[in-house]
Amino acid sequence: MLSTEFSMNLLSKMVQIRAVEELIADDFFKSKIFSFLHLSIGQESSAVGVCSALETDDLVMGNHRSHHHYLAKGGDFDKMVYEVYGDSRGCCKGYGGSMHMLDRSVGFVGSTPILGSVAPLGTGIGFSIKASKKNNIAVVFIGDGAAEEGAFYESINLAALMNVPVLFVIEDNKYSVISAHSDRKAKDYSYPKIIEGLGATYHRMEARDVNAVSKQTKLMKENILADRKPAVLHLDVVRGTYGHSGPMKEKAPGYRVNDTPEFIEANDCITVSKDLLIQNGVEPEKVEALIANTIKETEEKFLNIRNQIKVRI
Amino acid sequence: MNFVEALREGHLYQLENNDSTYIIGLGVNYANGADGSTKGLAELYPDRVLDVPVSELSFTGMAVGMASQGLRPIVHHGRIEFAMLAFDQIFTQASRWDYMFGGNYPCPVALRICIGRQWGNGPQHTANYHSIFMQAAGLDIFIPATPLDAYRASIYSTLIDKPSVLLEHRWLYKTMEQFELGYDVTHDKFETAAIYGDGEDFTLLTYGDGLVECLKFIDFSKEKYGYQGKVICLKYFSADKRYSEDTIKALLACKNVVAVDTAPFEGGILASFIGFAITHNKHEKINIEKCAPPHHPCPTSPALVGEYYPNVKSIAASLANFGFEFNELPELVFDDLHIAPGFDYTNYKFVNIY
Ligand SMILES: Cc1ncc(C[n+]2csc(CCOP(=O)(O)OP(=O)(O)O)c2C)c(N)n1
Repeated sequence: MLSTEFSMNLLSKMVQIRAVEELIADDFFKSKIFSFLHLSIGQESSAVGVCSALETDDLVMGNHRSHHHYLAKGGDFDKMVYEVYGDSRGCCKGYGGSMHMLDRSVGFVGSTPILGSVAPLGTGIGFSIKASKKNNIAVVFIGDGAAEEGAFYESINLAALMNVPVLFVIEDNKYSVISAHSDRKAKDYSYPKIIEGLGATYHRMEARDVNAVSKQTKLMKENILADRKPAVLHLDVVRGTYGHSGPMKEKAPGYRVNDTPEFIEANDCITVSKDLLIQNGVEPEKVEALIANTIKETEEKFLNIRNQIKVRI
Repeated sequence: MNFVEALREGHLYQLENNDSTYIIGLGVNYANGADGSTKGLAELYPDRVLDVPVSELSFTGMAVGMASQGLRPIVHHGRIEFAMLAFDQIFTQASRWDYMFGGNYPCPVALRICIGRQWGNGPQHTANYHSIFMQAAGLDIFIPATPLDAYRASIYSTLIDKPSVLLEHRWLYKTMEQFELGYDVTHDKFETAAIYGDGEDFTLLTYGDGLVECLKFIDFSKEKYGYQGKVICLKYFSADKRYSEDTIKALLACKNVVAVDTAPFEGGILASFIGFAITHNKHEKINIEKCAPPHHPCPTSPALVGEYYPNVKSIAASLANFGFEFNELPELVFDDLHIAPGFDYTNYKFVNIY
């Protein structure tokens, strides 16, 4: 069992990520931000769950949509906000913008938006960990779309061949922009057959419960190190109401046939993780207070930074 | 009509007129597919306008295979960085296909490859690797600079028997031009360059998204300082012969030339064109300055992008090296530097060179 305190921390982290992204979305609307923007809202549990099972020396890479991965790994909050605004105090000094998160001090070793590119990179990062004889792993987050690039499959094979300690996390929100799985994959497409056939371990689960993701990641990390083979953790997440990119909320988009607004709300990872805490005996007031405090703190922190940024040149 | 609408009209023309035309690419069947350039086409031709898995290498290669057997696929890549996953298929397969099999075996795949530019694109969405294409003998290269170019190139490239690529600058998507649909579409040749204006004081040599800023400069220097200049805009580089004699002649006849490149000059297509023109014509003496981004990628933050790309001020600074005087230059605001222009080409006269 994970301790209540641990679970509360995970919830708080997810709430922080959502709160800051909502503030960013708001400012983007007002044309104050000049970076591409891909929000992770709705998908916080995969990042927070996975990263909570890692140590600083486990090295993580993300993709075009990585605010949550970065913050979950412990990336510096202020530097992320500065970066999104293109300020020289940002984690990449404004050169990268939202799609290039980096905080090497906590083992978040970068994010790059060219789809699939992180699979080989993560394999190399895992190789370097192995060469240094550390008991750590590399972790790469890859979308279900990006996981269609050949480089992903080649990397699994390569990592399996060379016993590289790497965990590929497929963050599956069902869509690549607005193309659904059925638009992109044959009817008989089988992840387990492919991935296990290439020599990696494969596990698929719903990511709504952040604690379950944390436990599974811990187990898979142990196995990667014990069995000396790579693994794929396939997390089903729910894309929030913001859509693929930008700050606009989607109003009943035609491409989302099954996940209606009601479905999105009922399966929201923060709601689900919160309800589970309460079911497990934590007083509802305590949980609500934690959420309210986190939002308030995040807003204060955000505004403090935001007020120091000169927007538009 | 804007640049994107012009591309769409070109596609529509080809889909209507040739049943073996296909449009293949990520999201080309969306309501606003390929940034609007395939808007509504999937509804008209659901079997020939095809969304694909996120697998650039395979879907581009599929198109190359289709083209080798007589179909007419058009492949869209939203950025050159995405197309790079398919470089084996574009360069090593398509561009050499006919040659390595001894000829008589065409592979007319038509690629549309976009180059990013505008706030937020950053180091991984703004690359311009045109010079790599120049060295791929066998590929026909179009760099449309205006909506009319885009319309004609999108059709012309699907009529020829060679693999081709449209290097499409997204910065131009909102530019406007009035022209008649159907204009010159089946003409048997495509202009290698066009000359805008006829002033003799100076010449700006450019291509693609450089044209807007050059024309703005011509207007500015005439209105404010009475200088008369012209622009040579390179547009088409044929597979058989990259540079035309007539374009070289036109360049060598100019004095006070500034090469206005929107990619770092070193190793770029203007540098190689100038190099070719000079080696080819040993007796000619010509003075050329450059105006181009510094030799590093384009950063993300507008504060850092600043005046990365050529603009009226930096063109003036290059011309000042020839002794031109510009005491007062316009202030550039955020929109000038970071927002794609809605520039209208309609009243600019040009003469084509073949
Ligand atoms: C190689 C490449 N092709 C296309 C794109 C354009 N693109 C950016 S994000 C995206 C959708 C990716 O979907 P997925 O990997 O499932 O991640 P999600 O956006 O759903 O988080 C696409 C097609 C890209 N960045 N890189």
